[in-house]
Amino acid sequence: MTDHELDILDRRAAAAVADLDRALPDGAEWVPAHSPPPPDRSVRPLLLAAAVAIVAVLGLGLVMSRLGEGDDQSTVAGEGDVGGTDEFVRLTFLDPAADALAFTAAFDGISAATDQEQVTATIQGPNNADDPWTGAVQVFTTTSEGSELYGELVDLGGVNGSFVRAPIFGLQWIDDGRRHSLTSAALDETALAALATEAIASGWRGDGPLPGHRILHTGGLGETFPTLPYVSLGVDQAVAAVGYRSDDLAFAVGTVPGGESRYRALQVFGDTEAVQVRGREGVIVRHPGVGDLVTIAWRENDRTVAQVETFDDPGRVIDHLDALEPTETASFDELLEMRQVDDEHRLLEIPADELDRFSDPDETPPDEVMAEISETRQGFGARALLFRNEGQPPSLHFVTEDSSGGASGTGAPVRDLEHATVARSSDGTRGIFAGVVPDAVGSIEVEGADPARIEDIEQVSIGGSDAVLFVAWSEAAAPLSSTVVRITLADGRVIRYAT
Amino acid sequence: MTPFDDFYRGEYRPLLRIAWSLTGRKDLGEELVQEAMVTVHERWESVRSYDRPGAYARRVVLNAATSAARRRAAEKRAIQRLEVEATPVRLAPEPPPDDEFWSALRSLPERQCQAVALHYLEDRSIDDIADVLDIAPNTVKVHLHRGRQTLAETLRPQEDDR
Repeated sequence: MTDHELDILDRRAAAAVADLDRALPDGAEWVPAHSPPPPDRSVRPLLLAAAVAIVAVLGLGLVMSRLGEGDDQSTVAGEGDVGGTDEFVRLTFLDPAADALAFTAAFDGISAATDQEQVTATIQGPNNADDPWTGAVQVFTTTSEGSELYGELVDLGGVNGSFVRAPIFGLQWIDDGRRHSLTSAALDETALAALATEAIASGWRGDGPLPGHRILHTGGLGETFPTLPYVSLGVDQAVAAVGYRSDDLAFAVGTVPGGESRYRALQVFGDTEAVQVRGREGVIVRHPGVGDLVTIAWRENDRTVAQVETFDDPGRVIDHLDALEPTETASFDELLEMRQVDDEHRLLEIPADELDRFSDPDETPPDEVMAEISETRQGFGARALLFRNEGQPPSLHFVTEDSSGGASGTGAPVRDLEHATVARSSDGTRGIFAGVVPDAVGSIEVEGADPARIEDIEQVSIGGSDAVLFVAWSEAAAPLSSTVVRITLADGRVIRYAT
Repeated sequence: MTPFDDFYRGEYRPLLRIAWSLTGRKDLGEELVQEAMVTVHERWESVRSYDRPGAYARRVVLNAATSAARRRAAEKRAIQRLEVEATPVRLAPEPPPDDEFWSALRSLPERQCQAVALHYLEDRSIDDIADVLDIAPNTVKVHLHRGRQTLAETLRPQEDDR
């Protein structure tokens, strides 16, 4: 690069700045604003990536429905909270440099809020269990504008329900404009369906405990899922957590108010490993299916749960945590005042790296493709791929392209090959379905549609199993009137799946 | 007229110039500046005591512009993931004049983009830029050098056409 070329650049820049100056409006007057904008404004889809993680966890149905309004649950103390004389404290490295750490970013609990914050969830356990947490179910109810369900349909005593199988197993049903969701890492589909059926039969409407259960904890959704641990803090604070970094470690330290029930709640959906942290009993929580994020948690005192989030080796992170100092909130805020909140920090975008595989199959090495179909029928091209993801559930990636070149793509995690996972692409009149089912496809019908039968089906076996990957094209004669497909497998099983 | 009113009057246009050029959208730039001003206003008692309150406001705007860019990328990825047959949103983004130049600037790595923007938009010294970005002056020099080189290379064909 020559000086002459840089001179040309400088002149171009000066001209661009001058043009910009001329286009700027005249000065503006300050309109006093004494409070920050509300966190749920439409212009603040701030943690969309994090919301996507919630979508992945809860299933599309939650997002498609209108979330409950007015359910103020900024932080509801868990019923099982243990009282005590200790005050809620912050934890900070008063001198990060002394521990070879750099202060990186502060995460803003307010701007990290999403609409999902408004959903109150309870953790419930069976009355008759010695340790009800071992059979814990997360329960929440939202209002629902539509009647759509997504996933494999199941009969709940005359009411349709749908399983959300990945990455965390759950069941949803809609009753009189209310969408009820039960999510559990402990119950299998038979037990969860039986519980939902009993709840429906008993007239349970989303209030109070499920039949035979008691509420162990009440709080926001963010209290149980990784990536949004700071959503439902419920205390007046702007900054929720602080990031630190060394040459090869990055982690965020956050403290949240709460006692034993909150501490247990954040372990409900993870694989846990007991550890010692700062001389206390703590736990490492891994979240299968939700990326490589690891949470290290412990109870700093009776009123404070500490959560450290990292992608790195938790054992090495724990070594640093001894140097954390309890700090009053006022001092903590003062410490952070000159630091900018980074509400798009990587630690709040989890698991973008994992999910990116869904949107860009080219990034995935070919040896990770378990099965693939690439065909064009009826003017629609379709490419379906099943990826093997190391340490994570497989993922179905589905891209379609019409004759005009318009393309769309979708991705879905596949819990296992023993259950169905189906994705749909449609231009409103025609539909293409791609999916993984546990046996060869005999036939597929679109319920309620005309024509109801799909003739064009491509399927390939998935090595080492009876399962197949399929793509099915609906005929182009009529609008789709339903999104439910009935798949009859070669072994006679029938799967109804809402897409 | 309060001290903050004076600050607002004096800084609004310079901040909007940064936000508009770095987001490529006037409406978004105005929104970011307003949000930055709200942040400054909330912390005014502390910020006013700083040697250069404007540097603090610039840091807020630069971070917000960077976040907005990341957010758009995340939204794009998320929509791709979720599919949901979303209806395209029609926007009137009103790019800045000569957006070819600003677009090339925005395509630089984050810190290079911020350093070069402050260099051209505000004619700031190395030390000033270091103060705003809270990084070492030598680091600013590196970012400026690399950023200007990349920018010149990116824009060179267009320059040759002129």
